[in-house]
Amino acid sequence: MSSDIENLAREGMRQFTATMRVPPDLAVRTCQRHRRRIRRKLAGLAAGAAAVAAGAAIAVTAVTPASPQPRVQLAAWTVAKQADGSIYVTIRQFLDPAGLQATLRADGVPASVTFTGQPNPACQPYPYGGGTSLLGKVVSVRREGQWPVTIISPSALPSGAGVQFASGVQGTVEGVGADLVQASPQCTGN
Amino acid sequence: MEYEEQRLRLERFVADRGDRLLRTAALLAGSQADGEDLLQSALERLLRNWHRIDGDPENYVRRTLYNLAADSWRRQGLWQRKAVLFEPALPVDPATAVDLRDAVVRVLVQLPPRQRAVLVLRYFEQLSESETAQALGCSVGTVKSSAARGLARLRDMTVSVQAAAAAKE
Repeated sequence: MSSDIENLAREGMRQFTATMRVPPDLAVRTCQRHRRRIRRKLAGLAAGAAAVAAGAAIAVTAVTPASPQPRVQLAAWTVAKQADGSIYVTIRQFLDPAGLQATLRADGVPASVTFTGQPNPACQPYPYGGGTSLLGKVVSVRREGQWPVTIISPSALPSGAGVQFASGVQGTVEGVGADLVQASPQCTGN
Repeated sequence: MEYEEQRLRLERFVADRGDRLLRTAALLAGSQADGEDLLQSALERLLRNWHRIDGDPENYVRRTLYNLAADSWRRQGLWQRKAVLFEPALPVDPATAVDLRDAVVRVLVQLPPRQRAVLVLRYFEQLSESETAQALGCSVGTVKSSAARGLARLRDMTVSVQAAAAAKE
């Protein structure tokens, strides 16, 4: 009896799947989806590769009532604080990380901003406790116009945590990584 | 260029193994459409990790299918949802229910995740008990008991369908 049932299971599954064929464009669709996912991941901040001389064309704007309000706007990046306390960062080139770090700190974000491979040795990883969804609540990315905008929600930062940003190439940003670190005066400024 | 190479390599792999993998995925997921989604997710993981895989990538994709299916069942309660969707309407029409495909798949999608995966691996993939245990990361004893329970469900359903058919005659 048992073997009859086993045969029934075998034959039923075989019949159910007999006519199934993989769609001809599945591989292409998969590659496209994979690519989109990578782009979103890098979006963080990925910006184009135009190599403009560092430090050129720095223009600090006055605060205006328009939203988002650009607090500091450089040719390379813009930081704008919103009415709800969130911070919009638009990075076109990864220049002057120390300036970006200082601006974020001045806006109340305990932050460390460095080039990849040159992390602040005082920074220690934040103990997530098993999940990384917390990072998504603190840092998210939205594409608005030509450049991806990184949105930081300081109110979502747990006590004792700060944000660490790093990018690989000076001036030509291929992607900026973000992570949570343990806040400390040496790492995030407070 | 790298993207083109990746795409070509994946196209070759899918052309060679895609049908077989899709069938397994469809059985694990409960339908062809859900199986395609599941397979696509597994192939994406393959793309991400291909450079680290030793040996046949098909084994990697299969294992990923089992893991993703089990994750999905656990996370979304998909098993319960599908069980409701596929609940046979009463009274059972023997002419429809005796169709092997319908009967087996109807039982299959109502089984708990591990029982379903065990039946798919044992009787569709034709793996041995120890190979199934290895693929699912459980003991041979668990494979035996899960298979026995799954087959018992199938047997119960066949008996009830036969009884319904006899009563109609």
